[in-house]
Amino acid sequence: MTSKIFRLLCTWLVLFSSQVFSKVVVFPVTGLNLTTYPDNVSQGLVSFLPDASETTPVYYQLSSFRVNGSDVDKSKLKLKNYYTNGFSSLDRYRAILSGKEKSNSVTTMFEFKPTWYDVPGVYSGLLTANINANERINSYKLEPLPEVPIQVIVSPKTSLSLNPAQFSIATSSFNTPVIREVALSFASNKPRWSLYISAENLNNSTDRQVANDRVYVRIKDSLNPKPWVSLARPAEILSGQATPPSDIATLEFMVNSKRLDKAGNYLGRIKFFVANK
Amino acid sequence: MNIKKIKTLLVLLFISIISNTHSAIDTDMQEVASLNVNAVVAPYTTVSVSTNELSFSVLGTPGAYISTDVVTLTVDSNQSTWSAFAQASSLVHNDFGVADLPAERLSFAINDSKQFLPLKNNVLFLQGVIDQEPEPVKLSFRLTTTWQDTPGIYKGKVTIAFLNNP
Repeated sequence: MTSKIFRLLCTWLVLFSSQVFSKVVVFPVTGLNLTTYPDNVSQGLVSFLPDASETTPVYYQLSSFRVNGSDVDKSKLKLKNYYTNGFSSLDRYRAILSGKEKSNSVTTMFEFKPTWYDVPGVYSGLLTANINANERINSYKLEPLPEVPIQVIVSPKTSLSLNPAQFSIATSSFNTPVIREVALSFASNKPRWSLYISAENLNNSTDRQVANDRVYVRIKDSLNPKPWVSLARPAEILSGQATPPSDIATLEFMVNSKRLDKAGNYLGRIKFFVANK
Repeated sequence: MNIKKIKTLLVLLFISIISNTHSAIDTDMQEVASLNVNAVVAPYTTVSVSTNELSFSVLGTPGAYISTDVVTLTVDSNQSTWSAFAQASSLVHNDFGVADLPAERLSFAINDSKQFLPLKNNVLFLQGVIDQEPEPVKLSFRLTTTWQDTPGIYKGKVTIAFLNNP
């Protein structure tokens, strides 16, 4: 928390000093802040306002881009303005100002679209100009250009779609099980995950119950059928790494019958949980 | 003694680690989907009888004769409460024109009861509920004859009916 405040303070001081001494001012002064999640395009605007005497073209690129202490591919952050041909990656210098703006601001749009393989977290970076401060001062007699902090928050996301989303199943015995299949399509940007299943007790309209320990699941394997697993408590059925939406398994369900179960419909839910490993 | 204590401590430590691991997983779980399930318990009813034939050996003077066979009836159902009824038809003589033995001359008793119930109309003799293991019921039948009855062979039918009360 303290380091964050300190960092913001430093950023503000740098930008404030830039506004005072440089010929280019950046809005917002906090730089670019985006929040996004996998497969979602997040965009933000930053304006660069040169003063009338700024006649040198200005280029910026990402000098650093990191998350959780690891470098991130800088080409993932893109920008678009009057001088780019559509969105261009910031792993190389891109024109921000032409030097002919005559005090008119140039608005630049930034874009970040994380994939499912991009870990969730805070991505921090810094946009720096092509001419460093010393060179601007010594060679061109110009004030240093401001650095633009970048912060992109990639939220954790996990999605699971079930096909079908509901089913009706007759109770049966293990010898002649009545089976219902459900296909799972799963996606997660968590580096490691486990998928758990549990079942509620199934109730009929007169408060009679099929207890959840009689609801069973297994991963479909026609050649080598697996043993049934009771859903009385959460059961881990799958685990893996970050993955885009993909068909990960087909589950088979059965509900064990008891001779004394009253005839009728018993309703309930089977729940799916994801846990980080 | 000391080794035993150390073993106990190690076991407790192991259990503690296991339970901590479980709670860590539990608190980190996030529900991502749910599946609505309708489990259908199909209705069933089974009625079994030990024999489908009754005979009375009426060899003496007129009176009450108990059947030589005891019918064992077992009813099993998962449909709410249920009831079993019995009814008899008149017993018809083999020769045409001989008077029937009316149905009310037949009666029956349940298990070891000495009280015989006439079989004239549908007689409710057994009721059951679900959540109850089926228990066999023994039915004894009695035929009353009189001096007016013509000798010979009489045939008839005892019908046992089953009714679900939803």
